[in-house]
Amino acid sequence: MNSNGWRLKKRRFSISHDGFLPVAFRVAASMTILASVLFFPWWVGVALGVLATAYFQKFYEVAALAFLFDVLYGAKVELLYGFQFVFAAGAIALLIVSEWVKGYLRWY
Amino acid sequence: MSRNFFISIIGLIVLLGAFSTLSFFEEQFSRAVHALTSPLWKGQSALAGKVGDILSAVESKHSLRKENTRLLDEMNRLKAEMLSLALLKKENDELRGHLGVERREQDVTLAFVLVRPNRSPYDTLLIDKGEEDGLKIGSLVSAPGGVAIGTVTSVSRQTAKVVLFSSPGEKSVVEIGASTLRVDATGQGGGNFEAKLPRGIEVHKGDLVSLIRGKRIILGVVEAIQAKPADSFQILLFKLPVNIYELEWVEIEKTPLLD
Repeated sequence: MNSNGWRLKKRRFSISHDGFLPVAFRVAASMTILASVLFFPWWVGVALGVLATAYFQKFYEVAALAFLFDVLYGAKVELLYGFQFVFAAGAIALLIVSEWVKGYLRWY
Repeated sequence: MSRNFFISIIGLIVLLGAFSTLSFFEEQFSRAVHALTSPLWKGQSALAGKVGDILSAVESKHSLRKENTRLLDEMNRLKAEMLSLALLKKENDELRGHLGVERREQDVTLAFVLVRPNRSPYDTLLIDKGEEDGLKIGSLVSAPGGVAIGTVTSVSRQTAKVVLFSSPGEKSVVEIGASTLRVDATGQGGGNFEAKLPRGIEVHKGDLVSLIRGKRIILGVVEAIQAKPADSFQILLFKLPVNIYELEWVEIEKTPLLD
């Protein structure tokens, strides 16, 4: 409350409250993974995606980037009845597992 | 895990399912993505070429001389092979003439490889020709020299995706060596194949493997044969005779061949 008795509102995404740096770091991580999907071998993107999912809370961007990877380079897999989006499905599974594991870890 | 997280995950799964089943959305999205990314890959290739030119200027004289000698030897060997191939072609044409079989000339276009198979584990290529250049789904793609490597599986306006025959799980009907028995060869990734043949069929290392797609096309050479005494089958391992990770140009037959 201020001196006149009015409740002060907290601003979202203000530099003083949330910090610009964590958001900027997450955006930079997503851009790095995007660049690795476009320009580097597939295992570089997978390694960075796993690390980013482990580090950030609810890193949904990994699913979007994995989907992009499948659209760009994917082929229908006969063993999975012609399903093409293997990496996207794997990214969703990774998200679920990582959030479940984080619930049991003290660091998060 | 929170309720919002579950809702988000379910939303993602529904979206993924929608794209998998509704091929129209997947095609349109794929076209848009390829249109956005192909200039980036062309820029990357141009930059890699420029950097390569700069780096080659600082290579030692000794290594350049060595490379020059190796290339001259390779060129002489290939010249000799071309002479024998020209002779074989002439004999083939004469035989076709005697039998009254006409040679069908395929309309072939040359395409630059934008993305090579090392970018994905699927053994796929992305090339810089698309609908505007007359490419169609199912068109046969060959490496320079006439070795078949794959088929076009999706076409955008200016790019196309090629799935190689060696893509994991991909099946191709082949004939091996002098045998007229047709078997399924299964792609193992990385340009490698595996085929199962009954034990009684005589096969040797070095036998040619031909793909059957309306006509015989070279696919590879038998590299190894695995046969346990108790098995009734022998497993043949062969690979594409080209290095798919260093492909720069490919040839595409504009008219899709029937199986």
